[in-house]
Formats: sequence, structure tokens, C-alpha cells
Amino acid sequence: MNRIRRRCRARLRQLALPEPFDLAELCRSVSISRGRPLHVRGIPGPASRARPCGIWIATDAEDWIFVDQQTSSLHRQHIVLHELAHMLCGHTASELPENDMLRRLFPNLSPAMVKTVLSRSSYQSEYEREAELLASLILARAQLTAAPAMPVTDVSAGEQEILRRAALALGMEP
Amino acid sequence: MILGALVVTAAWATVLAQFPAHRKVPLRRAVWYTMVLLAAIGTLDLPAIGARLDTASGLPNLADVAQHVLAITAATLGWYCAEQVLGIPRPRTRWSSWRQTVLPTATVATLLVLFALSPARTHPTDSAIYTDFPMQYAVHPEVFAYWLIFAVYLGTTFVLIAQLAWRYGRRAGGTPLGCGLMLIAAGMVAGLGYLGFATGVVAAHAAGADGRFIHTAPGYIQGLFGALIVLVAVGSFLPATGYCPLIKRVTAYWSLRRLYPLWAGLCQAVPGIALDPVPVWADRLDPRDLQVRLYRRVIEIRDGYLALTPVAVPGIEDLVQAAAGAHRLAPADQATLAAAVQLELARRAELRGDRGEAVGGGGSPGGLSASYQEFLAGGDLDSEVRVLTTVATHWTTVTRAAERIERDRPALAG
Repeated sequence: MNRIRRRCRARLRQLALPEPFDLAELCRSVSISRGRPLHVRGIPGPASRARPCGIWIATDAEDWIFVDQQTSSLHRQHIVLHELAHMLCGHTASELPENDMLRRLFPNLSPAMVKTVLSRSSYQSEYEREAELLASLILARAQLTAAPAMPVTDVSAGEQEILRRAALALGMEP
Repeated sequence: MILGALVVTAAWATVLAQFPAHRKVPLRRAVWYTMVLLAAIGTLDLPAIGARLDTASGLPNLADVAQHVLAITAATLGWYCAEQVLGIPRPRTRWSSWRQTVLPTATVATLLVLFALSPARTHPTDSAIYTDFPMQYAVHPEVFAYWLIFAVYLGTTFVLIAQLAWRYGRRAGGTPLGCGLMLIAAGMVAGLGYLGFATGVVAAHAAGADGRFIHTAPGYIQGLFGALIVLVAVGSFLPATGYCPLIKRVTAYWSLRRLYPLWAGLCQAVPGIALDPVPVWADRLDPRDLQVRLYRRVIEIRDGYLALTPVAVPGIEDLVQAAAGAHRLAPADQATLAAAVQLELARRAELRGDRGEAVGGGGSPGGLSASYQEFLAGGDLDSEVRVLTTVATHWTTVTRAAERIERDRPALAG
């Protein structure tokens, strides 16, 4: 694990992350660097125990990231980042062991089109551990540099603005 | 004396802690200057400092007058900050200009003239009985008028800021901002108490009354004055503490420890969620990478929850409130704990090798109950830690509710 950690930290130092951090912006940047469209979608179909919470499917011409929607926004961001981390680390699946799952989830997808499938379901393989750690380091750094979001959600827009100004007056970063 | 010195030290510490940051935003600069004035007022209130100033200037009660002038200036700045925070668009009219500059200047000038006309200019105050010279010389009309003008000016500002801080502090809830605003509101109430008590002494003395009330007043007045300074200093510093590296580390460590039992319980039921599992002693002793470890803990807890299928229980929120006993839960906490109980039932079922009744399903968050949606509202690490810490803090309630449900509905207990 220490070796993976060192590798991930080295990779993180080389990464130009958007500031302030914006996942959509990072997706755009990865898409441009790979020279192919990248789409992020919710995992279709009903939730089940066996279903992974995140999947990256690379076809001939496009990358698709599917993420489970039944969790918090931070967790969803993390799952997307995990799949992005596979791309940033240059991971590819040597075989496609999850064709059964693919058929169930995406019945219209032709297996011949699929070049790589990686799913976030366990940390058995080194690829998964590396992607998970890199995703954690990216988002932990993003959280560290981000201003704490206004934690109040059930107030009117006017009150939200007043609270923002009060926070600013009392030393919270703009 | 020692308590007074501690109060002043705390006030200067918060001023210095915010020193470089205060320059960035005009509104924050105004708050910072207000804090400087409060700390200066507290310093002048220390008998050793105040007496030395009086002796060095040859003017008895100069320290008192200086404190009052600084207080008027601080109140004016506080008023300005309150207006800026409220953000009510006000064209720069002659009235607003008058109120911001001419009114405080005229008030200070009037106070100085009244002081110059009073015997307090040449006669010292018996500081063993009186905390401010107006209390001793209240029988003189110019001193009585001096105190009334001072008290009305300050009292109006205290009421305005207290209302604002209380209202929006409640809206911001238990966040650092909410707590900071509530402390400021409490400080303003202490300030009103100080003014009320001191005005009572001044009025009693002006009316020729004498007695125990006047002799015991200095202790209460000093206590309320100290509370005003400490509460406002801490309240205005609290929201910024999230940016102090040491406080960040301590908070992350504390949260990490609080979430450990929750995480460990989920690891038992859903093995494999931990990327780099550590025993409890290592988790407790390792001071490295706290922020990343806290982040991992939150993600792994969420992974564990995602792997479980929450058990549907009709009237779950009432059951949670019943399990909480006399402790009245806030609606948001109740919703969070209801979701936590549904997941705890699923975790217990998983440990038994059994599976509960699913709620939601349908593959979309729209299929989940309202309380469960509330549980998934965390958009950043802070809000996630807050939600999960609520579960950890009320763990007894969660387990009690789960046990009662399993007892009353044996089917769930397998």
C-alpha cells in the first residue's frame, strides 16, 4: 500500500486540478487529454446488492462513467473520480470479466464495442486500490482548498445571501 | 484582576489571530477594527492600566472617558457592519451620512463637554465601589446626562446587533457560523445587562439612594462587561477557526475518532469497504494525514451504507423520537437518525446472514423516503462529517430504536 501511496502522491503533484475544484471541469480536461468524449451518467435499472457503485466503460470512440445515484453528492463525486483516476493512471482491463453484468445493465450495448470495463466494487486488485487512493487524494485536496460551503440549505435566497455576508464579515473565506 | 487580564488576553489573541486576514475584505476589516476597539476597552478597564493612564495624564477618570469614546466608536462600527451584512440597498443620503459620521462625532463631543463640566474631571473615582465615574457623580446633572447619552447610544446598537445575530444564528444552526452569531447575540445581551445594571446604579445614586445594591453592583457589572468582551471575541473568531491549521487538525482528529465505531461496525457487516484497515490503537495514535484519513472514513462509511438495503419501517421517525426519550430531537436530526436506524436494521440483518425489507429501490433517489433523502444531503466533507457525527453522537438512540423495532417486529429479526 505504501508503494501505491507514493505513486499516487507523485501523480497528484503532476496533476493540474481546477481551482476551485470542479469535477465537471476535470472531466472536460480528461476528455480533452484523451481526445474523446467522456459522459457521466447514473447507473440505469434498479439498485441491487451485486451491482457496483461505479463503472467505467471505454468503447472505441467514447468513455462512459456510470455512477450509483442512491448516495450522497460527495460520495457520487468520489465514485466518478475513482473512474477518472483509472484513466489518469492509464489502467485498462486485460479481459472483460463483467460481460454478464454489462448485459444486464446495458442490454443495448454490443460487447464488441467495449474495450475496457472497470468497476468500483472491491479493492482486490492493485488497479482498484490505486484508483481509489488517487481519487481520495484528489478530493481530499479539493476539500482542503475549498472554502467551507454555506451549510444552511433550508433558507430563502435572501437569507442565504445575508448569511454569506455574515460569514465573510466573521472571517470565512470568500 | 486575574480574570480581567485573562479576558483581555483572549480578546487580543482573537485580534492577532485574524490579523493578516482582516485586510482582504472591507466588511471584515470593520469587524476586525471593532474587535481591536473592544480589546483596547478591556485593556483600559484593567485597574493597573487605567490608573496609570489617569496618573500619567494628570486627569482623573481619563481612562473611563477613553473607554466610553472607544465604545461609541466600536458601536458605530458595529452598526455599520450590521447594515452591510443585512445588505439593504441604501443610497448615500444626507441622513445615512449624518448617522454614520456626524451623530457619533456629535455624541463623543457632547460626552467630552459634559465630562469637562463635571467634577469628575478633577476628582478621582472610588474604584472599590464604582466601576465608572458616572456612578459616583450621578447626582450632578451633567454626569447623569453623560451616562444617559452613552447608554442609549450603546444600547440601541446592542439591540440591533443582538436581533440580527440571534435571528441569523438560529437560521445557520449548529454550524461554526451559527454558533458564532449566537455567541455574539449572547454578548450583546450581556452588554445590555451591563448597561441596565450600571444605569440602575447611576439612577439610584442620582436619586440619593444608597445601600447594598450599589455596593454589590461592581462585581455584577464587571462580570457582565467581561462576558460581553469574551462572547463577542469568541463569537467573531469561531467561524474563521475552520481556516486555522491547528484547529483543522484537531477537529479532523476528533471527527476521525468519533466516526471510528460507526466505521468499524460497518466493516464487520460489509467486509472490504476499508482500503487500508487499521486497528483502533493505530488509528488513535497516528497523527499523520488526518484530513485524507477523515475523508477516507466518510467514503468508506458511505460505501458500507450503499452496500446495505435500508429496511422500511412505517412511522420510523416517531419510533426514533420515542427511543430518544425526553431528549427532543431537531427535525433534521430526527430524519438523519431515522435513516440511520433503517441502515442499522439492515446491518444487523447482514451480520445474521439475513436480509431485511428494502425501501426505495427503483434505482433512483426519487424512490427513497424523505428522511433518507435528508441523510444523503451531504455535498462536501464538512456536511458529510456533520451528518455522520450526528449518527455517531446519537448511537444509543439508534441502537435502542433498532432493538425495539426488532423486538416488536420479529420478522425483521429473522
